[in-house]
Amino acid sequence: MRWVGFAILVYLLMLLQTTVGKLLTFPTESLGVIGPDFSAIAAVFLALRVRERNDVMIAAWFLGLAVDLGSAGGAGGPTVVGPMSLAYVLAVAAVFRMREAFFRDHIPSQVILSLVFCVLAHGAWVTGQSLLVRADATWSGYGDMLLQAAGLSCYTAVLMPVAYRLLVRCERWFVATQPGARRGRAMR
Amino acid sequence: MKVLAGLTKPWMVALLVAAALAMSLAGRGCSSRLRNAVQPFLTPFGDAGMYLAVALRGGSRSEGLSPREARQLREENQHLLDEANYFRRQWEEARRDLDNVLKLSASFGPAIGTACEIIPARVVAEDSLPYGQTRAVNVGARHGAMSGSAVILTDRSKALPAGLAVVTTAALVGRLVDAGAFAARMQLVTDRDFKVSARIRRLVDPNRPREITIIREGSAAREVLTERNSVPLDVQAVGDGADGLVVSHVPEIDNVLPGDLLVTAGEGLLPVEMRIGRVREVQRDPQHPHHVTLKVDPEADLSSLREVYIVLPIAPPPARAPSGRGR
Repeated sequence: MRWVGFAILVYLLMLLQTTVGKLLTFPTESLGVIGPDFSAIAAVFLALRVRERNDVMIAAWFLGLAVDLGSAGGAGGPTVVGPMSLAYVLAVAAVFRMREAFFRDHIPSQVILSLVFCVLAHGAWVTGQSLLVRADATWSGYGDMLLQAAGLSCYTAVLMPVAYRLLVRCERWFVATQPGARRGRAMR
Repeated sequence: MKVLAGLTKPWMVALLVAAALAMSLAGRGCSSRLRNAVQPFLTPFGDAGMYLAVALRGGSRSEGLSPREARQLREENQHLLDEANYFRRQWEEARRDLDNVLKLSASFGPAIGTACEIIPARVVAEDSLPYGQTRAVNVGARHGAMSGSAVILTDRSKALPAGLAVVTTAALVGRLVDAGAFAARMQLVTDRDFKVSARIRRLVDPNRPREITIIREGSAAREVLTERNSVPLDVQAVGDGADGLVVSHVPEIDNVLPGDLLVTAGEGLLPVEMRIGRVREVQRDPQHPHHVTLKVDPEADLSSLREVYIVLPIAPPPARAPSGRGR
């Protein structure tokens, strides 16, 4: 990982997600507001492209922290910072384990893995925040938020292939070149 | 530094996980301080981003009109202009009367009015996740903003095609839930956790008369709603978590219709009466017979919110006259 480049990427993603990215959100009658999670897209991208698992988990922690810092409402009052970092680390570890069974450049693989990531991360976040924040939590309120998380996950998964192609173009700024892969290409 | 340099990556992951757990369990105070520390770094570029987002949202909404629609709009505009002229004359007469009454009242009556400080602010960021409906504004405790203050959108001018008037609007858009030194976070009226004491003001329209049931001295009577018998209905409004508000348990006999106004109750959050939204839909409540649920559209366009004012009462509001009907 190139950590300086990665820090800039996190900052840009945070800006994008809290300003211009909101152009992609839309309200629905049954699910509430649905919008994409750009940080989740970046986390899945790193899980597919970075060789070392610990690097991916550290990067996911910071992405989750950025999401938590940029969001203050949702689960029955101001939310706490921290659960999304944990949720991202757990979800990215699961995706990292699963990646061997997928071709990373195939669109269905990207869609499925980002869907799995978002369902795990956002499901865990909604549950965690409901437990930590909400004193008067109701099952229906919790169910509504889980449904919204499912909608968000599907929407993010649909956007993943497009974002993947964009991120591949600027990958060299935040992912260290894999020496093995470069040598392999040179020998060919 | 030596300790950090000696850390292996698995240990680093373990430390970060422990830190996340500690932050989660530390509660809202710690989270609030962390957010307030980070927000100033986002504000300069966030402001530019929000400018772009609002500009793009505005651009995406401008749609062309067909010749038929344009003709209909011209006719409707002419009709409205005639009506507006009529009401303007009426209003000027009423204002003269009111001025006289106010002069007398100021001379001989007790002092009334609420002293408020109005703090202009600008929305610089939205929520990173769609679960909540909060916005970050670029003023904080150092500018006088305090948690719990009302946020209104007032005198906001919108550019319209040449030849038309410039309109202004005034509406409650939310309240501050957190205020740091340089930035604050506002909860929109559409947030799931937004609750406000409000009133329904039913519009008296001679073209659309409606019957209401009035209970006087134990007996009920059906009457047509007029200015004289139209009392505001005290209600509790909550955000629906998407793009509107919901008012539950409104008696069917009050005959609230789409188009009626939801206004602040003039106490608590905002010590004056100000519009919050307009009733979009009236639904029967299957759980509570003879009651309806109202779906309300916010008065302000919350998707392109930029310039807002934070209202900070600096003196206790005067006692409110019991004009509304309680629930």
